[in-house]
Amino acid sequence: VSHRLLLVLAALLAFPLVGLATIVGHQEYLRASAPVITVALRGVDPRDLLRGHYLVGDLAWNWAPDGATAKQPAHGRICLTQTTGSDRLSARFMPIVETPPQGSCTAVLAGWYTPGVGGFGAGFTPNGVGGDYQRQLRFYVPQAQAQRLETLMRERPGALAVDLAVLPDETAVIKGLRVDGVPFNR
Amino acid sequence: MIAERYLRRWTTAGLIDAAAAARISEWERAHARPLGLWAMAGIGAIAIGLGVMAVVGANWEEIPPWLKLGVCFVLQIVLAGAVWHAASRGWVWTRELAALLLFALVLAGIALIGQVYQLQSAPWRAMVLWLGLSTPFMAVATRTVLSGIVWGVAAAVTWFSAWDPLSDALRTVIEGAGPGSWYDAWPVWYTLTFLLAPLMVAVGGLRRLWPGARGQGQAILAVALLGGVVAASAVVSFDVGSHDRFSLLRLAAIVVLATALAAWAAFASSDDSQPWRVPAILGATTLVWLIGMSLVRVADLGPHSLELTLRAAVFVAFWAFLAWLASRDGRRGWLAVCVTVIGLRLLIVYFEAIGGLTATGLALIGGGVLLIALAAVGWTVVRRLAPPAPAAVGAGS
Repeated sequence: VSHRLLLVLAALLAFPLVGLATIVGHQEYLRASAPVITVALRGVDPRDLLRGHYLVGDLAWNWAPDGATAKQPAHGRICLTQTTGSDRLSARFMPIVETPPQGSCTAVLAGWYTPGVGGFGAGFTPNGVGGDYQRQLRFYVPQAQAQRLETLMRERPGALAVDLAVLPDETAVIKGLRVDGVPFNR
Repeated sequence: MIAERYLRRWTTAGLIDAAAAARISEWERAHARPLGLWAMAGIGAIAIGLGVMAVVGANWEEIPPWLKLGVCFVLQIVLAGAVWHAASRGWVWTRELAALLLFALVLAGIALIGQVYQLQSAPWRAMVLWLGLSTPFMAVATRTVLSGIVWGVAAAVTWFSAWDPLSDALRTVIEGAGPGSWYDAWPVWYTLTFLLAPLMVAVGGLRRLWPGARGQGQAILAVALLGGVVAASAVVSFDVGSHDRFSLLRLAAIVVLATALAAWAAFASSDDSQPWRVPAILGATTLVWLIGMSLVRVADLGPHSLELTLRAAVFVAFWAFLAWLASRDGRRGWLAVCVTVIGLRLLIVYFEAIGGLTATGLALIGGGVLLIALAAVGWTVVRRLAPPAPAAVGAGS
């Protein structure tokens, strides 16, 4: 084997290591620097096949009175604003063609909107959360605690919430889970 | 022992004398491996591995994320070092095994990072990232057929895991509009399944250009070609119909373009005396696929029997062509496979045409006679392709 080929091989073997280390570093950087919002979780149906390992849920946004009037599923953005007298951010959906008003939103997230059906309120899955086609949030939890958390989510709406790091490109990553406002510790 | 039985058989037939039989028997005894002990040791090693995995799995929640990631990176560094060391020393199987383990560990690392950081994305993105990070070192470090096939399977799994975005892309290209222009799953399924074959043939062809990995490229190409043959045969076999009027011409243009690319790669990388063989099979395969897709597109081609006959005729003609190529190249095994496939298809024709108990009985009798006749013809042809008898070899030497 030639010396040059061995050098090339060494570089190529380092490539996946560097690639994965970059992903880890990037995620650490995002979690350290991005602003964080807390959104309540609500149950979804059907449950996931990997139930017991992943908490499957949907984000329960605090919609403004005129915030979720769209009748069709669509790509778009939500503008999150702080309202007086409430510690929860208020959400308003805008179709993708609309530009969020400058400076008036505490945070803006792009994603997929679904109108409310029956007693199930409107939904919005930010890009970066819920996968490309699943449109469901999956949070890895210890198996021993999965059932308790799932029951809690179903029977006491608002008890579970997630911290979302809002990135500059209007996507979100899950930073952590909260139970009754307290960060969930594995 | 099986070898002893064959030695007695060959000695009785006069192919070898008793002295040669004794020498062979002695040599086999001297080189015999304690397979039972090897198997026991292997089972022990597997048990240890599974035990370690079970212990780690049971305590997975207790292991802090940084430790999981740290161990994963250390293992990757160790394996990467092993690949490099084995490559520098020329230890073929150590290098291949370490490279395959590293290949698997990169995927495990991606899954681990996804779990630790709660990353939410479709599985195909992780698979594409995996292939993107691993293919370069696999291409340089590995040479064996095994590694090539493992990589090919990984590529195929990635292709099918990306089914949704590929379907959307295909629909966008065909209809010139956004995703979801037409929703019929069969044309998409048939096209995406078939497209994988020319793409992998092209990969195998290009891989053959590197002399050290020629056998690996040849294996990828052969498996891909076989996949294409099976996919085209399936398209022309099943009458699924179609509810949407998709653009067959645009679909055909994509497939023909991919086939032409693959045929060129296979032709350019060939060093045997018949460089046209793979392009010819690819061309015939694409033609059969096109006929099958045309039948899917028209959905209702006059009387049902006409479509059944057409499908069967195209199928049989295709496999007869493959049989002719196999006989031309003296490949007895493949010739036997082709004859068997044709026989089974003709038997299915009988069942497709039956109605009532009498007709069923007649169909079974007719199909049976046909199969026996085909087997007789196939046997005759296969015998003609038999290698020269030992006497002839001896006479020539």
